[in-house]
Amino acid sequence: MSGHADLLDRFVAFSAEATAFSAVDLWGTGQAASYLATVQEEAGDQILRDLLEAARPGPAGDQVFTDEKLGPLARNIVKLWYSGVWYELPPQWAARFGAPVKAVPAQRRPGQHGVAGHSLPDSKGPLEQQGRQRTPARCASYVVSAAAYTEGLLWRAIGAHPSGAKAPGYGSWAVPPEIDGYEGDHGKGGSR
Amino acid sequence: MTLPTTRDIAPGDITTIEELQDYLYRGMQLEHATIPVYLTALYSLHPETNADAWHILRVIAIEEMLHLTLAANVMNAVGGQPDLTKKGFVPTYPARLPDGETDFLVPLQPFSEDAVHTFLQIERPRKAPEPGKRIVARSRAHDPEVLQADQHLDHRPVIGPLLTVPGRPEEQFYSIGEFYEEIIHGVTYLEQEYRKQGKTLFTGDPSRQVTPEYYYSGGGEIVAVTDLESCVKALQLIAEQGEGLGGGIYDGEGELAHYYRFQQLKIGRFYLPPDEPDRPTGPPVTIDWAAVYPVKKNPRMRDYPQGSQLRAAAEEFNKEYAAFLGMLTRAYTGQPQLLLEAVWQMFHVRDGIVRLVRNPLPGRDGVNAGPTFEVDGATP
Repeated sequence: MSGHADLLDRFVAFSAEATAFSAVDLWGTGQAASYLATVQEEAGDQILRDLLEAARPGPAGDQVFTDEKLGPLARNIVKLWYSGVWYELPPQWAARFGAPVKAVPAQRRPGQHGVAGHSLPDSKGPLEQQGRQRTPARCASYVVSAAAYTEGLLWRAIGAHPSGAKAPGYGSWAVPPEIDGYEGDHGKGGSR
Repeated sequence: MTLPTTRDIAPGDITTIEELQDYLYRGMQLEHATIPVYLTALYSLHPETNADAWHILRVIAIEEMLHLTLAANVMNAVGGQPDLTKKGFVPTYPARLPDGETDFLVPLQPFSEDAVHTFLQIERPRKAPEPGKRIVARSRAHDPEVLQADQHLDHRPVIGPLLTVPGRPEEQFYSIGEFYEEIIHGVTYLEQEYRKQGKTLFTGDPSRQVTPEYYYSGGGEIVAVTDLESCVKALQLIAEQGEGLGGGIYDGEGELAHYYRFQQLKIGRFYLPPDEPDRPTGPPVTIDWAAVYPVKKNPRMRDYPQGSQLRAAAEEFNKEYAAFLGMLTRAYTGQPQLLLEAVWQMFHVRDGIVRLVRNPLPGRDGVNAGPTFEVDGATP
């Protein structure tokens, strides 16, 4: 297995622990590679590897969330999976722990964020390798891609669907939401 | 086909209502069998890429669902019992279809040039060389891939080829088009004979018909079948949407037939009216063959490690699909209003396929999971 594939596996394994969704669900969003690239781009490769190392299963694994250095990144990864949004990391944190500086700010354009999944020359950063544009300002919060919004875990967590996408079928809103693994207060909800 | 009005038509292969119902069951089985094939290819496309292929596959998959519903309407009109939950209704993939005297394999596979080739084989208009040659003996001279599949018990389809003649497994229809021609001949003949006795073939309960209020935006007009005319109309719609009308590229409603829709993917250009077959003159079709999840060809449950989350997800999908077929069966047997809810279920089916095809298969570098559609034994 190549180094990158191994890192991607470890990133998904950590994310499964941190989000309480299964690895199958996370792969199933199709966003794993794109999110890994986002984290590498925004926070830096080394700090991500530090996080994955510190979060290995064991008594100390949970402590990464309260760790001064790793906590904000760990929490950001959870929010990323749930909402598809990369949230701005605190500037003080960035200054202190040395997140990477963007070399070539470029305008983000809608419709240019598809994940191509091909390796491109190394001169491009992880985001460009994913076929996406860099953010204009380093500290901005942004939706990672059009697909990231629709694949947010929050929709499944509340038994809903993203507004304007993944239409659930006319009239389906007239029955109680179905939440995976939750039987509800009144027996089995929904129609299945 | 024109309806004979003055002279009696001779019996064909269908001479009883039971035989007709057997044929219609096979028709429903055939129409359904293409759906897992098209859906697997459709959802193997990376999101936000391959819009042209996406639209072509999506429209055709939806039209196959219309065909299934039309066949159910015909079955109900002649007093039959549509049942999509019978063991063997869903073939084990690769399924088989006839190509003249031999078969070809229809695998579950991701979108690819091979897949487009198979789709063209499925939908290809093919007339028997002469009218008496509609049914042919199954040849042993299969292509090597089919012979190889024969030798591997695990890959042998449990129900055999899809278009053998009911009760005569050594004979098969020359093509899907010829199969429907035989059914149209059969209903016409039977109705003629029933009328001679002052009766009619169409004694089914009209409340079982799926009508437009229960079936909307579904790839064409649903036809409620109550008599010979509506019956022939429904059957012709099925046949023409696949192969085109009378050798042209369009069906009776002016829509491009499936064969020519798929051919656009092969040639790389859209058809425009009044194009001739094989020579589209429209804008280019853009395809990114690489923007596809590498779904394992003909995935089976045994490909998923025992006890793994992935196996559980594949099992869950099969149960959900079995439940969906159960719901369609109830919709086709007296509760057509359930089709509205079945639409919601279809979105679950979509989400289930999408989840699987994006998952890497453990230990198989560069190969992804996929839905197996092994529904027999999957308890909803």
